[in-house]
Amino acid sequence: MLDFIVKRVVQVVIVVFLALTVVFFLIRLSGDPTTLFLPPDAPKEQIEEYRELLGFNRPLYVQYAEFMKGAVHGDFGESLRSGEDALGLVMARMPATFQLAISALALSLIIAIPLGVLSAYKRNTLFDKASVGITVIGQAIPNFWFGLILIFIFAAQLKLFPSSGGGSVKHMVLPVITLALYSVSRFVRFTRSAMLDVLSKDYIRTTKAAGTPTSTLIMKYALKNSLIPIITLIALDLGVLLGGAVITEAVFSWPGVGRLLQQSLMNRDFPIVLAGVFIIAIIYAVINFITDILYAYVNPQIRVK
Amino acid sequence: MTEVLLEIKDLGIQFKTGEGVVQPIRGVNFSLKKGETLGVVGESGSGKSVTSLAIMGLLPEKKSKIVSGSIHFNNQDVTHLKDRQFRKLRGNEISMIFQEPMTSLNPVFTIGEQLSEPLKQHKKMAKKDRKEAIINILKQVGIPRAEQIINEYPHQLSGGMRQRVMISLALLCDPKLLICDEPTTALDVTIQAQILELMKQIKSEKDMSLLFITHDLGVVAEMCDRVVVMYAGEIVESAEINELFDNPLHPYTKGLIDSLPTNNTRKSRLFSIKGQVPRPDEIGKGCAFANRCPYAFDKCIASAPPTFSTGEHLSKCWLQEPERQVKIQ
Repeated sequence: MLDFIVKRVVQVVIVVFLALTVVFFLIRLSGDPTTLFLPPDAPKEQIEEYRELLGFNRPLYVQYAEFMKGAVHGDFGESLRSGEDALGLVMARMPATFQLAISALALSLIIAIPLGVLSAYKRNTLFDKASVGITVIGQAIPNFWFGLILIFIFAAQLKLFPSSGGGSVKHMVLPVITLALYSVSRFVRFTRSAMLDVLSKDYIRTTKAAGTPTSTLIMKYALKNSLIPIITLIALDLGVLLGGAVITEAVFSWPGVGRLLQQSLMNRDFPIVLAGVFIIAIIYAVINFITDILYAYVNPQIRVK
Repeated sequence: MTEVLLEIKDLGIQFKTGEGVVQPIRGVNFSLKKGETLGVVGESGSGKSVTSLAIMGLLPEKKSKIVSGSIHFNNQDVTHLKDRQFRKLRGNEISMIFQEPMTSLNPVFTIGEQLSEPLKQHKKMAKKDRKEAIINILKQVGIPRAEQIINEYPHQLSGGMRQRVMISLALLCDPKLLICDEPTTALDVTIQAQILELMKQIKSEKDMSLLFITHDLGVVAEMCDRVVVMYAGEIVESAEINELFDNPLHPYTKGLIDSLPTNNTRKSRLFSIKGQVPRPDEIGKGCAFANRCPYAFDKCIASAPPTFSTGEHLSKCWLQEPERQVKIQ
């Protein structure tokens, strides 16, 4: 077990290092941030002066080395705009993103797993066809459009929920539904196909031949087998949600990481972007680690000795 | 005369497929007495497994339908029994051992968890009693260190061990009828012999009838009192075991017996019946075996033979028409 953890930690370090490197160089391609901070007609000398102040006039590899040195110590520099600590700004936004992500995921699972199971059990009935049809639509509707429609109906027309901002449960309703729509659809379809696959297995016939009632057969014996592929999807989904649901957060002005990163990219506020990438890479790694442990719990065949 | 436990009369089963309706079981008749072992023999596609699934009430609900005849078990008509009622018989009075021990156990539950299911459903036993009963039955089927095995998962056991677990699962509630669907086909020969030996021993200890489905006449000779031979969804011959081997009346049975390897025929190739079992939609109005039968004549192609009987020995072949009575040695 210790061996396993050490291996994973080394992997995380490599992944984070590579992610930071790639983003560090890619982001430079977006242009020089100093031009955004100064008026368009600023004299050349002033631009140069400003570049020197921020250190952008040094060779790229020097800047990279400097950045990595700081990153190792958890120092990503200050926001070019506000001058606040970049990592601190990102961390301050994490709770809001967590709140949204966990709520959306929980809502999706509560709705989607029973629906998917029922769909598989009632295969080729009207219920199944309706659920497959609706989930196709759910996957096809773009997030931002669905969010806007929700705002139009429930915020603008009915005035039931606020259209933007965060802070209360009421603020969460619309963004959570927006995010859940896509996840629910994906999970229903995935659960259904995983379940259908399991229901055709020999061991299900064995359990049936032992006189097991259909409800126990499905909810206990078949579901645990179907969970193996579903866990993978949960991990992927959670990774995307925690990385900041950029578009949804933007539509609802949700004060999360996604919106912060999007704004920082527009402003070429490099330190914040890199601090965000750092956090997201670590979150992905942690999710993967937990997923592996869950796998071992659900599937004894891959349990570490 | 001993009591009849299972009686199947004129059973016909239809399946819905993509291309229409087919009928893989066409008028099957046989009965099984209490304490008897009946072999059901035939090639793949002859309808053996479908028949056994019908007895278990495990035919796929939406795709298949019993269109004629009846199945009586222990004087109860179970032909169109509702699933809820059939559940009380399954794993309790009728049990089944399946062909594939490698895939027939659930990979994510321990042996103990899987074996406690029939006891929970039918005996309503407390947890402690269940554990005791399970360890007991595992020991009976010759599983060493049963106390540990109940906490292990199927992938930790060998094929032979898994089949022993399957047998113990079937025996847990002391069934009156045990259906064995090719229980040794997937095992290697030495393990096969061990499992057959075990089944014989269990049979002699418990008051149980056995329906033994196999394509292997050697296994039949070892295990059974009586045999029915199935071909393309019908029973073409049925007889007491020695009578069938000594005096086969149907050319198909004869072909099967001739296909058995013997110790002193190393020099030549094994005999085989030419062609293959017709699909249900390929069967015409004549005898289903006619196109592969070396004895076939005009009448065989024109119309299907009825069942002729010589005492307890039944066969479905025009050669056995009373005025003809051809010996096919």
